[in-house]
Amino acid sequence: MELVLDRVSKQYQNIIAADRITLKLGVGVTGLLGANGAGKTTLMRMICGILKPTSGSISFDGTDVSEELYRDALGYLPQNFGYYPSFTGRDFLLYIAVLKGLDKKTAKRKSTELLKSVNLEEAADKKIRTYSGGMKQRLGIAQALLNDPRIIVLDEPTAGLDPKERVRFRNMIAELGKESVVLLSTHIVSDVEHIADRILMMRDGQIIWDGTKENTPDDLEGFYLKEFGGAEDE
Amino acid sequence: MNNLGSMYRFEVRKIVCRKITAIAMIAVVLLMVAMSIGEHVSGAKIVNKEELVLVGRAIDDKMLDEMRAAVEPKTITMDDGTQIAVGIGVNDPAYQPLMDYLTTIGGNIDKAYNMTEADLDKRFGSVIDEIIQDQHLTASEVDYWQSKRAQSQMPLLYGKIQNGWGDSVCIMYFVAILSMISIATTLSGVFSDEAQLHTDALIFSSRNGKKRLAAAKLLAGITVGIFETLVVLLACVGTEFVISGFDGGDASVQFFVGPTDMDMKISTAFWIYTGIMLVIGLLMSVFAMCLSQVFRNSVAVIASMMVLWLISMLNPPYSWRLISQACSYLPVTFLGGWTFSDYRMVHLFGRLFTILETAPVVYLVFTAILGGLTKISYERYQVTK
Repeated sequence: MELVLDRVSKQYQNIIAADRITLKLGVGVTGLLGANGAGKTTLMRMICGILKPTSGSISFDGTDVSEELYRDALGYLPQNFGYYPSFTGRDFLLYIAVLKGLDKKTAKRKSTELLKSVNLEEAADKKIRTYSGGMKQRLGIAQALLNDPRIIVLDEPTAGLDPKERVRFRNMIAELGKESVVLLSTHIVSDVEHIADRILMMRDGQIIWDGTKENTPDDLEGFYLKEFGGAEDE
Repeated sequence: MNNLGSMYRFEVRKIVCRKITAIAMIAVVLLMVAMSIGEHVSGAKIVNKEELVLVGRAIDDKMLDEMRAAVEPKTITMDDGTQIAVGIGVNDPAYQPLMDYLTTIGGNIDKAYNMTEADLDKRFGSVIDEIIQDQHLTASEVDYWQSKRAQSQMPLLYGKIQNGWGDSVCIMYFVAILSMISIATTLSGVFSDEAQLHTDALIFSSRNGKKRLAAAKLLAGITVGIFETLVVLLACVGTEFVISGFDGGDASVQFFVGPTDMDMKISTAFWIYTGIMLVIGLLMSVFAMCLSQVFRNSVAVIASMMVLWLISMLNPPYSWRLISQACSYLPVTFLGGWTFSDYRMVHLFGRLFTILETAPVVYLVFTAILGGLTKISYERYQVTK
């Protein structure tokens, strides 16, 4: 299983949001760090096929990002996780399951399973508008996993979660990383530090640091702050 | 899996569950009922059950003679000895509405009282000739209408003044206006809500979200749009028929909309207008969704449709043939009595087609074009916010 980015660029008029990024991501958790405007979200959107690169190609095991087969393998939690306020948590998962092409029976089974695993079983039939921020985020993670994805892209997945939930999710993501290609961006360095097998740092649309667990500095947070001059994360 | 049926059901639910949908529907239905009732309580129409005996009969010399026996002009003598008719004395109330109708056609009581079938034909003919001249018709169009008039066997059949079929036809353009308002409000968010709620990222990264969902959304929007049109239509015709009854469907359309060579029974005109109204509902639904996809902003969709309504009210002079004829097809104001007096035709495949024949085809073609544009725009959409 390999996600390949070959000289991927994205340009908005005079701004280069991603600059000839070449990457190969295998099974495991890859953490993506970078300051505001570094191009992390643009990169993630291109990997998810919702933003077309200006040049370059993205493929997963030889399947191009534009193909349905690629999207079949994809699970995505965007930074601004959107939902329909009038839907219940269960309805929302069933709807996303339909979009992901799951049949009725599988959709029901997977929705129930995931609601349980993200601890939303009791709130499953309540309207999403009544959910707390953390509950919504948990629902977001559940929808990303509906189709048993082999590529999982999580943009700030722990935002809005309390410390206890954050730890729970770190474990969950680490578990997912055993069988899938997981790309995760977060503003909390310790999240990446604990679960990522590989860490990427972005600045000005380029990957400026690419390290594995083995060569990651002991003081990752300090290293990160030094590299980015203490700038806030995206 | 394709899942089109499931996506369609979810999309219908998303539209219907919006609070604004219920508010818009209730508001336009109440407004439509109020308008339909208002037509009758304004005093412009008087209920006259006696006139039912005349309904469906030709307005010929026999009927006009009967009228003269049933009513008489009340006259006053002026100082110089001339007599002026100032009102009508009524012996048989059944004929009073006919006298009122002829007074409108003839211009005064005297002319109405003394009118013959030939006078009536001449009067109608001269009005039609005037319209034909105003509309700058081509020689082939003039020939078409003249031969149609020469072949016409249909006499002017009396309807009653308060007639459910006729009243519905004459008020149908309000159905179009209110349906447009309702559709614009309800369907403005079909595509734009996804961007505003930030659900677009989830949708476009899914298997069916990138392509098939557009079709499901369009189908769902069309279903709701047509349903809304039907509800407004039922509110209108229901009110009209409850107040005026179902009698008089055999009367001539001319009796209600004025002189026209597009003569037919009023019930036929009603069904034609109902059919066209549903096609207009379809067109407006797809138009609203196309704008929703292009603008990705509900307010912009509603504002654009209101602008379209205002443009529909423009009445370019007939001398600007192409613009004027194109404007006559604008759907919001198409379904008025005036459409029966639009003699401009479309030349196609060596044949001439009337506005009533071409309008539904034009609307369906535009619906297909707008639907196609919506789908293309949807598939090219990229999530940037």
